[in-house]
Amino acid sequence: MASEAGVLELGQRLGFRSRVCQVTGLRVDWAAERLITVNAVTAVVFLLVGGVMALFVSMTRWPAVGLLSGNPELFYRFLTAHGMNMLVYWIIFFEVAGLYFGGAVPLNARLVTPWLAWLGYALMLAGALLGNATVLSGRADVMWDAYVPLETPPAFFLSYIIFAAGALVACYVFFATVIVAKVEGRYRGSLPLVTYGFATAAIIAVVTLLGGVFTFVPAFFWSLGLMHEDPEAYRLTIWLLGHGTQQINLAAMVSVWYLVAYLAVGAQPVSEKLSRLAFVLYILFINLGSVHHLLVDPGLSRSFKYWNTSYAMYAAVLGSMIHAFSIPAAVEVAQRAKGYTRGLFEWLRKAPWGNPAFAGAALSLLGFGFIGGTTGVAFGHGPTSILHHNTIAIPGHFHATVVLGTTLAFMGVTYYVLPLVCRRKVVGWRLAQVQPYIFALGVALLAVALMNAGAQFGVPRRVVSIAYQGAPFPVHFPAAAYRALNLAGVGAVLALVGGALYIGIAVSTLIWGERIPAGAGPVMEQQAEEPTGAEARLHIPGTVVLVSVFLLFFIGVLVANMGSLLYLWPVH
Amino acid sequence: MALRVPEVVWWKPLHLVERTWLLVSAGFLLLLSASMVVWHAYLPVDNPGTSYKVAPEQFRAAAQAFIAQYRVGSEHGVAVVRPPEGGVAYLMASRFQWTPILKLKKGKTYHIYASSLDVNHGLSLLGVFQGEFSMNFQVVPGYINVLTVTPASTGEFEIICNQYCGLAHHLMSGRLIVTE
Ligand code: HEM
Ligand SMILES: [Cu+2]
Ligand SMILES: [Cu+2]
Repeated sequence: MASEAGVLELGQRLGFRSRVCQVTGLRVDWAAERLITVNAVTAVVFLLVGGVMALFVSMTRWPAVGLLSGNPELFYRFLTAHGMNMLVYWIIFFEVAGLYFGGAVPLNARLVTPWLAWLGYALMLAGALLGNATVLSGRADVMWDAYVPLETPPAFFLSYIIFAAGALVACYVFFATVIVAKVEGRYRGSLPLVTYGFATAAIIAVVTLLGGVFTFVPAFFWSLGLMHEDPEAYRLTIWLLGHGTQQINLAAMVSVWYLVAYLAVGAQPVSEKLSRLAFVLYILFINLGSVHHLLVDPGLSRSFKYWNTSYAMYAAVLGSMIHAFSIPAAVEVAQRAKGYTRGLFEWLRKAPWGNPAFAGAALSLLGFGFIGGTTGVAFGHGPTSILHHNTIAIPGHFHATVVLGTTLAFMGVTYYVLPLVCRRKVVGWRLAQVQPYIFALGVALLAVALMNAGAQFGVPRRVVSIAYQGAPFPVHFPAAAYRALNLAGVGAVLALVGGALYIGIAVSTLIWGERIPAGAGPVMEQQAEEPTGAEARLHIPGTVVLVSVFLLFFIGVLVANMGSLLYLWPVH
Repeated sequence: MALRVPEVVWWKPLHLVERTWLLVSAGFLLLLSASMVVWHAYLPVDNPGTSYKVAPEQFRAAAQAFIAQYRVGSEHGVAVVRPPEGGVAYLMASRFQWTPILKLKKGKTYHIYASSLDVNHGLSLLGVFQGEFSMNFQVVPGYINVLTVTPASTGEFEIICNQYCGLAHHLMSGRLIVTE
């Protein structure tokens, strides 16, 4: 084992300051390490802001509590801030941390042009601060998507433009890092899968952020009164952006699944070819499939709607179906090689469920797959949008994707980032061990209950209350709709507790966590085993059962959704 | 290895299980695509596919002429209108009301012209089947969303707005009446 001085010297000879990770044997560039840490910490700060907003929003929509029901203005303000801080700032700052990790660390490379990375960071931070200031000061109670022609100040659109510019700079630094690593001969052959996955995310990000330019620059000039903006054109472009960003989240989340599966049980992709094909499908098709947000809109022809949401979108879904298979398969192969071979599922029972990183990633995979993914396909299928459009089933669905899926995966991988990148021993390990379970249970309950309230009873999203007190015509939702919302409230409490635990653990670790000296031994309870060699014969009966159950469940969700359409009045 | 550079030749034939899953998934998704065509051809519920561009002022004038012609009463100051069977009915969204109250006949087909005078709104017709299930459409200023609908049950149906449209968005409600 090299001494710290030796490592330093080696790094200097290679032309950048770095250290060697004791667990993975990879070289960590110091500039990359600091940028990863700063971006991730900033992400967590925005998660906290968004979480406080979530507290107010969810406790208002819990009819038995109705926290802000007397103050609709504040509710809409906080809901706007919740969407922006969570969906945009928390997720994207964390993804930038992921890009710098995936671009530099697995390649033994240095982060190219750190000063540009800091510039990108400054721009993103400035955009996020301007966005929060504009919204929280009460000048833009317009929701994160601010559909033109809702009165919106220029500063609101400007904040997105600045933020997007910063994110584009981060993507540039990532690509430059990967290319320079190749030129400098830091790695040979193909990119490691995790880097490949993050490259997918970055490519989609560039396309998407350019979509952002087409959305927010005209909207900015419109809000200054300098330009006409067509409301439907705005909706089309913002969903090119809004849906595209979800695919960045998807690609980043899947990369994290592969990463954690490797670190926690030594799993390696069974077939690099298949996994890479799945990422390529994301790149090629995902941005084409964004019209499922506009299925019941005017201004678009029916054939365009169908072409877009069927052929284009399903090619991307195929990518997810592949990952849904290949990740459990990789874990099963690795576990069986360790001797957990009894029955169909010993490998799964004996997986490191007490390792919060593994638990987070596994629950993320299950939750995203079974709840988020299936309902996403179902809601975007054919005319089912008529049943769900703008109902609270939609927030139900995407809390199962971007919260139960992406957010939980990011929380899980944090339990590796803290010891391996920040070199701090996780504070409150016992709490960390239960954190993913509490959060997953809460969000799953929230998501399913909201989907029930929206799909069955048409409970609307983005309203301060469903009592309609003072409305010209009274509106009565059935008692069962209130029951569903109350259940969602309980789920929200659990999710908030899980989220607060996560933030508490991460922040305490950074402040009080015991420093792990370079050259220290194992830092996690479960260590990655030496990777196993690929087997000639693939023996994965457990995975086959799992994916078969998944497929049946998927078909069930689709049939239930399409079946509900038969209750509706004939319409076209 | 997810975190390491893969072996030089990773382009290897897929295992049998992998190939099977790939084919099953692809087949399933192809069926799903095909089912859209089936929906469109044989089932009565489909996404709206007809729309017209219109200036909000022009739409307001047309809607008001329609209301004047077919008005049969009023409720809470909102006109109740009985459009001709099989004909066009205007539904106007503005902050924060739905105008007029349409009075339709069960089993007859109407072309509802829905548009907005100001910002985006969400037309949400509640409880279309025994008090459950809603039907939802986007209402965009500058566009007429043509909804060709055939009411299948009778009663007074609640309409709400489910696209955030301003600080009184949660008070935007209306009615649709269906008689035998
Ligand atoms: C920690 C627990 C969380 C709770 C309890 C929660 C609760 C809610 C609820 C109840 C709504 C619906 C409000 C409405 O439409 O009236 C909502 C909206 C939303 N949430 Fe969350 N949420 C949480 C975390 C997150 C996270 C982590 C993200 C993103 C990564 C997120 C993204 C969103 C978005 C984008 C909306 C839509 C805002 C809008 O309609 O403009 N939430 N949340
Ligand atoms: Cu409205
Ligand atoms: Cu509204």
